Amino acid sequence: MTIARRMAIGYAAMSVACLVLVTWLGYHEFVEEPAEFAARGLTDVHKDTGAEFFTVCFLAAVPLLLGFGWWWMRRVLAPLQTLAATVENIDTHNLQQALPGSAGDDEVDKLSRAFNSMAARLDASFRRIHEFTLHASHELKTPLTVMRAHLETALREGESLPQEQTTWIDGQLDEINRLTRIVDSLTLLTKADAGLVGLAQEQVSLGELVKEAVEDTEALAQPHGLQVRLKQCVETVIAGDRHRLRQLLLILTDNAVKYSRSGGSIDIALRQTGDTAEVQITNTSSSLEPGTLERVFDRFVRGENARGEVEGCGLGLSIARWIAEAHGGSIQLLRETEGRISAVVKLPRRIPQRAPSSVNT
Amino acid sequence: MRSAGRVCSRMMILEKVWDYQFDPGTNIVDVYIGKLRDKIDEEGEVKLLHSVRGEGYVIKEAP
Repeated sequence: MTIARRMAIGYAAMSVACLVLVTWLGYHEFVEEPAEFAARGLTDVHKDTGAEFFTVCFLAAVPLLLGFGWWWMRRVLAPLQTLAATVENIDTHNLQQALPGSAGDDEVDKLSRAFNSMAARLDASFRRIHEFTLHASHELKTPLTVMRAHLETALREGESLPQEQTTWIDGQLDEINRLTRIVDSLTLLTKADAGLVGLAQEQVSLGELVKEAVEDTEALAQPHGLQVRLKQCVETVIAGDRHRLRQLLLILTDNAVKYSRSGGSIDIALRQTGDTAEVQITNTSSSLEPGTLERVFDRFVRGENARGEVEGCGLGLSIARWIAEAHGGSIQLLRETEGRISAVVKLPRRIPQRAPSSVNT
Repeated sequence: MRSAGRVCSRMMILEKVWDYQFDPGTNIVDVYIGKLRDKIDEEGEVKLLHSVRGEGYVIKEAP
């Protein structure tokens, strides 16, 4: 039965009940009572019976109708609330989950069917995008490998090549390597989106990883005259994927080196608060315009100052965010005082049961 | 020295030395090779560490 019909019937029933009540009261007041009084030889103490009667009926009927209406509306609209709560939890990963319909074939049922078919179409589109990106990155990899092999052979065998040509081939190889890295990163992110990248669950010493990262950072920073300091390192063991966590730290420290002003410094700290490990990497940064700070985690988004000057393709921080979130943690960039920028990664010491396995863009 | 005379790609070096299972997207290998070269080849008459353009590095006595 539709909601409209249910409500009409409910209100009709209530009106009939009210009418019956009023009629019965009226009968009692105007017919039975005067007869009884007459039989006893008394006169009615109520002079203005009609007006009093209607006041009493009105006072009784209004709250009764209001109360019943409220209860009835709530009862009838309850499935809508359930539906709204379920729809609010929909994101790209649970699109294929069907929404619950209400028991009858009513408007709510139609609405949830409409939502379900919309979700199914969206799910299909998302899948097509994922499949397209996966296929595209796979198809791009092969020709890149072939091109690299050709150029490497040319370099190896063509020892008599003029200097100009070897320089040109070197340049081409650099570009091919760059493109390969972009394709690899894109493949990783697309697979992560589709939930195809598994994470190892091992005991990882974060302190050890941070110390290694500091060593790597020192080597990378030396040519730029940057100072690297390990400010604090509280040994923390967390459950997670060792390789991915190393990758996360390297992405952040590499960024810190690339975006530091020369002569600046990079501070690295590992802290522990309660059940959360926190890694903070701070560097003196050339200005990052306001508004970019949140968006740099999106794919291919880079600060304006990075374009053309700093090597990279704008996928590193997307990968970093995926790694942090896949471990049930979070990552953010914070503007510090004196032109410094901090990357803060928070990781729970245990991965929660339902850790998101991919990134939303 | 087990791989003397064999050209090692950057990715191979990353895997064997750093145990990285991913391309870090940095020139960390080149930086460390530079440091090594400073230590090994600075004084020596015969250079040992050679870069092979586009491929990687090799340890050998020949120039």
